[in-house]
Amino acid sequence: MNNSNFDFKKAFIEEVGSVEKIQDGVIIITGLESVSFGEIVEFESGVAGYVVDLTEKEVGAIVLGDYLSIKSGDQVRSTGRTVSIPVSDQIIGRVVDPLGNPIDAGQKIKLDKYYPLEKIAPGIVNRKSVSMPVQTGIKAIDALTPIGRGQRELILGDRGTGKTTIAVDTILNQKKENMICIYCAIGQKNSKVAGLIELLRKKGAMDYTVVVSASASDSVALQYLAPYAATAIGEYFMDKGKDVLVIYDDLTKHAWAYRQISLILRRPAGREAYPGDVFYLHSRLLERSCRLDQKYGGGSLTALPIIETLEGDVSGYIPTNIISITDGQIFLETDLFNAGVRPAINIGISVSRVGGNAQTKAMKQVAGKLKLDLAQYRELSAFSQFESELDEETKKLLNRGAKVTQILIQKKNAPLTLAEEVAIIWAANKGLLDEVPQSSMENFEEKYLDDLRIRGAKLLETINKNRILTEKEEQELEKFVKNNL
Amino acid sequence: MNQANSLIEERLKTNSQVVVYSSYPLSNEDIVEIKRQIPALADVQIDNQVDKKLLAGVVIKIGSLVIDQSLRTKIQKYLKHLYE
Repeated sequence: MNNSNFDFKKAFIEEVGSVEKIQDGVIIITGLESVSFGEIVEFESGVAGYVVDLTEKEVGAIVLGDYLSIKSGDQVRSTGRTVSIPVSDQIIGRVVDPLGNPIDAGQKIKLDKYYPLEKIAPGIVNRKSVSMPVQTGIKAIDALTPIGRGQRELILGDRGTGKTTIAVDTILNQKKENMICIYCAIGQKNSKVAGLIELLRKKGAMDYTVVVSASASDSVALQYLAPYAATAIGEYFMDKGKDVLVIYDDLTKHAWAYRQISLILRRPAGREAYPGDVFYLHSRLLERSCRLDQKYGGGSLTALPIIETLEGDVSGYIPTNIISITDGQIFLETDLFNAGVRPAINIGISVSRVGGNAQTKAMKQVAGKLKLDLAQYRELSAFSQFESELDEETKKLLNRGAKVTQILIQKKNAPLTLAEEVAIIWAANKGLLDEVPQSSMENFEEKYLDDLRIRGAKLLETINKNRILTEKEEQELEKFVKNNL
Repeated sequence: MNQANSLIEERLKTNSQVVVYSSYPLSNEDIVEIKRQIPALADVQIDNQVDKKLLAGVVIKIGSLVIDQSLRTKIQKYLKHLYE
C-alpha cells in the first residue's frame, strides 16, 4: 500500500450527521456534534440547510430549496460557512431569490463579494442623524409625514388599501434621485410580483432596482431569509457610500413564516402563537437601516416595511411591535380608500418622527400651514354635522379644509417632483382655490400642472434646484394659478 | 502536528469509539502507520471495517467527526470542481 494513503495532512475533515426527521421544511438531524448556530449544512442531494436550532442531541435546520429530495437517513455534512449572498454591481436590474440566484431567466450574476445575511447593525459611532429627504413624489407623504434617508417608516393598512402602490410609486420617483431601490417580496403571489416587475421595467425603474423574491410557494426558510438578504444587498451598496431604499413587502407574512418554523421546532408559543423572539426578529432587521457618518462612507439605508392589518386593527401583536421599532408610520384606511381619498392616508395617526429634520425648506414653508388647515378642518367637520347654521368663519375653514384634502388626492403611478408638489400645495394654502368648485378641482390641478410643466419649466427647475420658495417665485406661481382658474 | 491530530485529540475526550473504514482489511503494519501519522490514536482500540466503495485510502470516523482520505471523495471533489 502506498504510504500517501495515510498522509492525513491533505485529508478532508468534516462533521457528518444523519437525517432523523423531516417536517415541512425543517429537518431534524442527529450527529453534527460541533456544528454552530447559523451554519450552512449540506445534504446528500446537494441541497443546503441553515442551522436554526441546537439541542442536546439534535440539530434543527431549515432547508434552502427542495426539501422533497431529502430522505430519512441521508448523510448531512457541515460546511463551516454561514449563510451569505453573492453581490456585485451587476445585481442591479435583476430578480433574485434570497440566496442570490437569478430567477429572471437571465445570466449568472458575477460576484464581487459575499455579504452575510445576518449582521450586527452599525453602532452609535458610525451613525449620523437623518438629514436628507427621500422624495416619494406623493404629496401627502412629502408634506405631512416626510421620510429622510436612513429612516424606517412603516406603511400599514388593510388588504387592498394601496400599501404596495405607495412603495412602488416611491421607487418610480427615485429615477433622478441617485438612489438604489430594493424591493423584497415575502410570501407574495407570483402574479403580483410579475406584474410589479413589468411595471418597473415599463417605467424604466429597473435600471436602479433589485427585486428579491421569496413567493408564497417557496419554502418558509426562503421566506424567512428574504428580508435579511435584501438588507445584505442594501448594505453592499451602502458600504460603497450610496443611498439605498429597501421595501419589505410584507413583514406580516415574514412573521408567519417564522412562526411556522418555530412551531415545528417546538419552541414555546406566546401571544397569537408567535414565538417569544418575534420582536427581535424584526428589531434586528430594521436596526440595520441607518445613515452612516461621512467618515464611514456616508451611505444610507432607508427602510419602508409594510404590514397588513386586519379590519384596521393597529393594536395587533405584529403591528404594535413594528410601530414601536420604526421611526413613524403611514396608516392607510379602507373607508378613506372607498371614499376616493387615494392615497388613503389617515393623517391623524400617521406620523414621521425624524423626517421633519430632513424636509426641504420649500416643503417646510408650505407644509406648516397645510397641517394647521387640516387639523382645524378635522375638528370642525365632526362638530359641524350637528349644526345647521354656521357662521362665515367656520364655513370658510370648512371650505378650505375640503380643498386641501382634495389636493392631497393623487393618481397612482404618477409621482410628482418637489416643485410640482410645492406649487399645488402653495396654491391651496394661499386660498387661491377657495372659489373653485369641488367638482372641478381635479381638472384644475391637471391644467395648472401641465401649464407649469410647459410654460413654467424654468420656474419649476429653479425651485427643484434651490429647494426654497422666494417671494419672486410666489408671484410667478400666483400668475399661473390665476391663468388656469 | 497536523490539524487532524488536534481535532481527534479533542474528540476522544468525549467519544472513544474509533472506526477506520478501508477498501480492504488493514494489516497490522497499516494500523501502526496510521498511529504514527496521528499520535492521538496511539492508545486507542481501532475498529476496522471494509467498504469497497472507497476505492482506496481510509476514512477515520469518531462520532460525527470524519477524516476522509479516500480516493472516492477526492474524485468526487474534483468532479464537482470541474462542473463549476
